[in-house]
Amino acid sequence: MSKIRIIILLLVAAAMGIIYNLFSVNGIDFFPSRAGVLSEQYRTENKQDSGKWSYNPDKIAWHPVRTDQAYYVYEHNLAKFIDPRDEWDFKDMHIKKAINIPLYKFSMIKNIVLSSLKKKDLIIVYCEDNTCDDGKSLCDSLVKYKFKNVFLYKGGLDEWTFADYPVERTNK
Amino acid sequence: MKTLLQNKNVITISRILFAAVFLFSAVLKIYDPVSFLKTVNNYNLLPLTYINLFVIIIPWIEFVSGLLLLFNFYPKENSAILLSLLFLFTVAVLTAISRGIDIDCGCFGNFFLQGTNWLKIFENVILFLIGYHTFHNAPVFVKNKTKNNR
Repeated sequence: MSKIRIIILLLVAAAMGIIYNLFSVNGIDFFPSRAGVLSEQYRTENKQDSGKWSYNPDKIAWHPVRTDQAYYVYEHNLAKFIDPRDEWDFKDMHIKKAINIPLYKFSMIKNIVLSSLKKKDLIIVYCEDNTCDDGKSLCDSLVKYKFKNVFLYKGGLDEWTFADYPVERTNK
Repeated sequence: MKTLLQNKNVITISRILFAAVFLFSAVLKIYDPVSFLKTVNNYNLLPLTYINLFVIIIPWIEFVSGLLLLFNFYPKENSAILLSLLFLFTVAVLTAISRGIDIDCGCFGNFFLQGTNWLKIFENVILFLIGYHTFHNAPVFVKNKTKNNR
């Protein structure tokens, strides 16, 4: 048995796999996108539930995200935070560096929104608190436009400020 | 029994059977990489960063080695590769059993949904014996000449 032959066979197979994946319609990313960071955290903390939120790059859906997870991606600058409330609420207080996309304006400004975000961007939508439906609606709209890594931070600004995480005011 | 196991036809049948199982499994995984990705992720064994590469490359190793073994091309090397993979897969299933995780083993993509249980381990042991029989009786290719290593 030749070890060199084994190595050559393995290399040839690996090369074939990579080439096939590049050109296949079923091909997947070579490395997980940044959404994997959340999934990694989730699955290490909730091993029993690992199957319920398995990382699937082709799945087009949004997922809930907790305060600690949201802060983790915020701290590492991995995600774009989107605030769907109106401009006045946004100016009053929002998560630092968040982008304001008022839900009521979404249909009017959707072209600007769609061109400023990439489909694979990790997007975290938040609202005032978990009773606010604007976040969920914006998530649904983004998912409709094929954004792949959309997360809803249900706790919203209430939980964020309670945890004393960075906020901004752009009033007056 | 020894004579039967060393019978040329028996050796050929075990080689074809061993190769065909891997070839079939590889085609299903290549066809639906996302299902395989989810299964590998559910095992919680590999770091997330490398899961995709694993999912892209491993089925092709199974495919290439399975195909070459089927046509009796470098049978010693290819059966060794497939036996190593089978060993790795069996260890993965064993760790899932030991951690009490009941998931699809991912052995045949979404085609046959098999759990991670002792029946799967038993199947793998049988397949391992067939593979070892192929490996042990495979001729060695040396510089365009074929030697039987028995």
